[in-house]
Amino acid sequence: MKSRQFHLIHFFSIGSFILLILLPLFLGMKRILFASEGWSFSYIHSFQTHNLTSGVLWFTFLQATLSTLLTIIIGLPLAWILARYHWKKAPLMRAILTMPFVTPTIVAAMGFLAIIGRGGLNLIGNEDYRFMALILAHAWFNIALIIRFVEPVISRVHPSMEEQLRFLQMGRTPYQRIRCFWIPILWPSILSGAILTFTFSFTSFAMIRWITPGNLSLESFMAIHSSGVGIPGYLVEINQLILAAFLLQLTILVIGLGAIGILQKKLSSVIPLVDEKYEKPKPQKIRLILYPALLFVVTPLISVIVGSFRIQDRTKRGTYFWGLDGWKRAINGSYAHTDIIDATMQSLVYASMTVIIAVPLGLLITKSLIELEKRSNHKARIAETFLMLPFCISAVMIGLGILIGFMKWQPDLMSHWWIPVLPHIIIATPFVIRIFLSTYRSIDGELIEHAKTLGLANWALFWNIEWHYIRPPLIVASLFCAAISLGEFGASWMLARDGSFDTLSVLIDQIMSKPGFDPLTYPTAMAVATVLMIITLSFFTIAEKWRDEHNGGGF
Amino acid sequence: MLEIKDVSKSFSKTLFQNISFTIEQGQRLSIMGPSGSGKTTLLRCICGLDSFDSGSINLDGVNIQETPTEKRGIGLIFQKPVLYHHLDVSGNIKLGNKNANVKEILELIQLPGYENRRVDELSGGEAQRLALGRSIVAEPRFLLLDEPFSSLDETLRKKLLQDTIELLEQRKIGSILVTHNHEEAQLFSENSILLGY
Amino acid sequence: MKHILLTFIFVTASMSGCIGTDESNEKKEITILTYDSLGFSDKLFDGFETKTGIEVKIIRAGDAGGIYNYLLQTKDSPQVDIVLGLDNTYIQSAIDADLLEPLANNASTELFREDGESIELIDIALKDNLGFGMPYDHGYICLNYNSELIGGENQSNIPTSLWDLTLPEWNGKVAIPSPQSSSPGRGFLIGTTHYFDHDADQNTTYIDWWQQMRDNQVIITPGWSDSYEVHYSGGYGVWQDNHIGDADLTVSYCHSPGVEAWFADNNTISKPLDIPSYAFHQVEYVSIARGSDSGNLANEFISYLISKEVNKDMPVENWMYSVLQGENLPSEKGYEFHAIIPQDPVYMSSATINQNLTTWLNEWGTVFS
Repeated sequence: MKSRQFHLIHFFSIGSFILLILLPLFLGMKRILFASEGWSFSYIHSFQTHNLTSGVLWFTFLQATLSTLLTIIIGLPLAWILARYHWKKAPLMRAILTMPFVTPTIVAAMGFLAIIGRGGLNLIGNEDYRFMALILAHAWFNIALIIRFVEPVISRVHPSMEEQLRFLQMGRTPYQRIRCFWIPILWPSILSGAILTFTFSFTSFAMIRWITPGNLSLESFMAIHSSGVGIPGYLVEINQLILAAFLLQLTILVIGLGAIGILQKKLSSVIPLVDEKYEKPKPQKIRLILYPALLFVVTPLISVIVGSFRIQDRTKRGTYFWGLDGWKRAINGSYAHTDIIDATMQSLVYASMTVIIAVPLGLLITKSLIELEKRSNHKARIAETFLMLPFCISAVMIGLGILIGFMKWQPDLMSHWWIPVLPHIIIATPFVIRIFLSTYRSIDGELIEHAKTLGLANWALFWNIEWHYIRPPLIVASLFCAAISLGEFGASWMLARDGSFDTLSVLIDQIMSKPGFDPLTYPTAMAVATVLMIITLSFFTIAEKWRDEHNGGGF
Repeated sequence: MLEIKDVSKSFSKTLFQNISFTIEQGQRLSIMGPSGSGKTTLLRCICGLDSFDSGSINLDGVNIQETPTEKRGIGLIFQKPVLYHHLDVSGNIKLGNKNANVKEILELIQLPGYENRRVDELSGGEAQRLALGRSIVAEPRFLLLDEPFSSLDETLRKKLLQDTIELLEQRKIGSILVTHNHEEAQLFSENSILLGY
Repeated sequence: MKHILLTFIFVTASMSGCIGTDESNEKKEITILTYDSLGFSDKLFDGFETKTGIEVKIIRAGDAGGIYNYLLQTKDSPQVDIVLGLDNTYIQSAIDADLLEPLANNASTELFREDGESIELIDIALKDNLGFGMPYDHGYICLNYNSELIGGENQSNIPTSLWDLTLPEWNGKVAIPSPQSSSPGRGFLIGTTHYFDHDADQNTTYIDWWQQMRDNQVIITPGWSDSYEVHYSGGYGVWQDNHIGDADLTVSYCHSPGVEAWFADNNTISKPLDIPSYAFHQVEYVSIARGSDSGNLANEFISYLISKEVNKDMPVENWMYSVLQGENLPSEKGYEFHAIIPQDPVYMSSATINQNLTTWLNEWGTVFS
């Protein structure tokens, strides 16, 4: 009876989360299909030819592909030197290089805008430079992915593997060693990192919205036109275009997720998992590669801070002065219905709610997955894949699902302030699961079994044994969840514009949307961005501390 | 002819000093010594993975000190077999020599029909046989063996050593075996050098 | 009049107090639907809250189109009381879709007149849309040009007709926000339809002009700020080291140079282009959403918004003209001096706009697709 009960809980936790992901998508799809007056493949064609959307698919693909290539070009050497050399402050360097990935995308956008924009390099008037800045921003954001995927693989290559190669005919030249060894060893991890980079660049919203406003991607098209969809008999054509965009993006992302699933198996098989200790050389000249990279990582962040103090002097052409006026305006000023204090509080409320719900939910799901693995590895793998769906379904798609799937059926929901918590939970929970899964998989099964022979069961077992192991990842997961919720932009932008509950990231967007006649508008937005950046990165820093000591987390 | 002449190496403490011996094509030699006596390092100096402080190593009268490892024509088998998991058994053999007759060599190392096996499915003995076979198809003139059978149980070890000797003789490959097992050394060669005593 | 109103409010308030304290607390709040880039400051809403004790809740829905969409989808379960920011290009479709409550149903228009102000514009606008929206600000949409490059000695001449802009001289030098996604862009498009209907040449239409503009490499941007900040060389965007915008002209308001001057201590090189019959008169309305149960609370907000005390500040709150007669732009810092009321602006009824806008936008879209 007891085991049966357990079974139900596991089933329920996994099932309810999958339902939470799929239900809005399903209901949204149903409604948009209705408003589009049915499905036809001709919508895809219209999407390519309609004057609102022609070029959107091409632009999305082009920028995502170039972003991915650049990310690999920058990330690979970094992964290499981090893995091959002995760095005294390796954890710190890894943390700095990972920082962009947890930086809120709107802050990243502000950073690059500050670099190329007014008072920066002044390249903003040229579309080509803007496009390059977008690619660079995406690479900046995603290098951590390449490093986190590739570095462990390179680290696991024992020197004897390379030495042995030199005695073999096919390993006598560096070219042969690259072709016969390094490429086969590294491609699955590089490709996994590349696919995720492609996915994130493909679905990037805040950065495209602010760095290249002249171009729409599938994601920004869906976001910007979301308000008009799902109303039967109204804007039928827009509904059809959004439906086409949604399905195109879904197809591409699902293919990406599938590919990563397949690669995951390959990843573990290319190189033995045994970690043998060996001495790594000290970096000498190679430092010259790392230092510019660290500079590249911190420049946009510093530019945001600098931008908050730099004010245009409109009376003298091309001059600026330094001042606290932007900050004064941000803190005391009257510039939006939500001020920085309210927005910070609201952001923190959303973040705490996300943590309170997503962390226990993620823990429960992880335990269920582990249980399921014991019963049927196959089923566990399928469940895991579904649980990772939010990794590839974009924030705007989740937002769109909730908007059309729930709110357009039930308009009363529009005015409920807690709605944005929903996408935050959907987006954050898979990260929690990832973090806990790697912990649980590393707990020695015998430990648990031994504890059971000592008569510990269920709660006692949990408190006395498991709790000890999951405390560090619990902290890491909570901080990560909070950081994700704080930085989330796409879904919040669509759902949380109820001005009484703006988050910091939406507030930045709102200030930037105003006409810039007032020279304080820009520094004010930068000041708010600085606040958001500092809160998020301090969460991340604390999380990194816990992760280093206990190695708790896949991200 | 491989000639080791007054080779010394120290690494915070003296590892070995003024080691000299010669070994002809097709001849075998064992080097014995307790752990930490520098046996492995000596092998690594011979094949060029490590450098030494003084003395010289000559191959057919030519000093090979500056010759990179891959051009010395000397093979090395590590204590733990190094196999490449991204390749199957025949792929690993072909790393040694692209044109190797895989079927023939697998029969020679007594792994017939293993062509498409994954290497992580091999047992310890099978793995070391594969490493041996792969080294042999690379056609070295001398093969250095660094305690290759130490992790195997005794019967298997003997059997494998016998098979290795047979293979080396058949291919006229000169060889140096590093071991700390007296019996193994005697079985492998008439002559042996003691290090670190 | 005011006394009657106050008594009325008092009675209503005390009556609802009888029904239940909870409800009366709830009723002391109004929800305002508006667009993202509303210039109104918190101060303005705080002022209302302090003055009346009515809490204001804001919902933002993108742009005017977003406001319309929001109203449409919540039609059967109304969420908002006040709709702030539908302009004369949008209000008629909201009226036609039955999304707004006639103001007269709530109170006579007299109700909104404070201090005996003469507000002609309001009268006209109210007549125009039959009392569904109260104008709270307005402005004219003009081309703005860089006077350092145009109009001086040895420089390009100031264009005297829109056709001038199709000459090679202006190739790639005009930036216009897309009428499909920008409200000034839409106003400018409407202005061009009027202009070419009324010019001497009856064989050409606005579409011919837009086609020639396209061939003359006109820069079309998704929003106003891209045209104005990034491309236009005469505005604040170009106050950057070494940066020269590529457009000498852009679409903005006829008083935008005044706003420039206001922030630059009477310094600006931007000037409005005064050509007859092309400057669209844009009026922004505040309305009551259909189904709002806020009754007089909504009216109070409208009164507040067009009261002299608040509405006179429109030029510095929302960068638009006050709707009150006798209120002009501030004369300080050259705000008024650098702005113009264009000759013969385009006054078009919202009904006419509504009838034709979709066609105009589609035709425009085919030129630029």
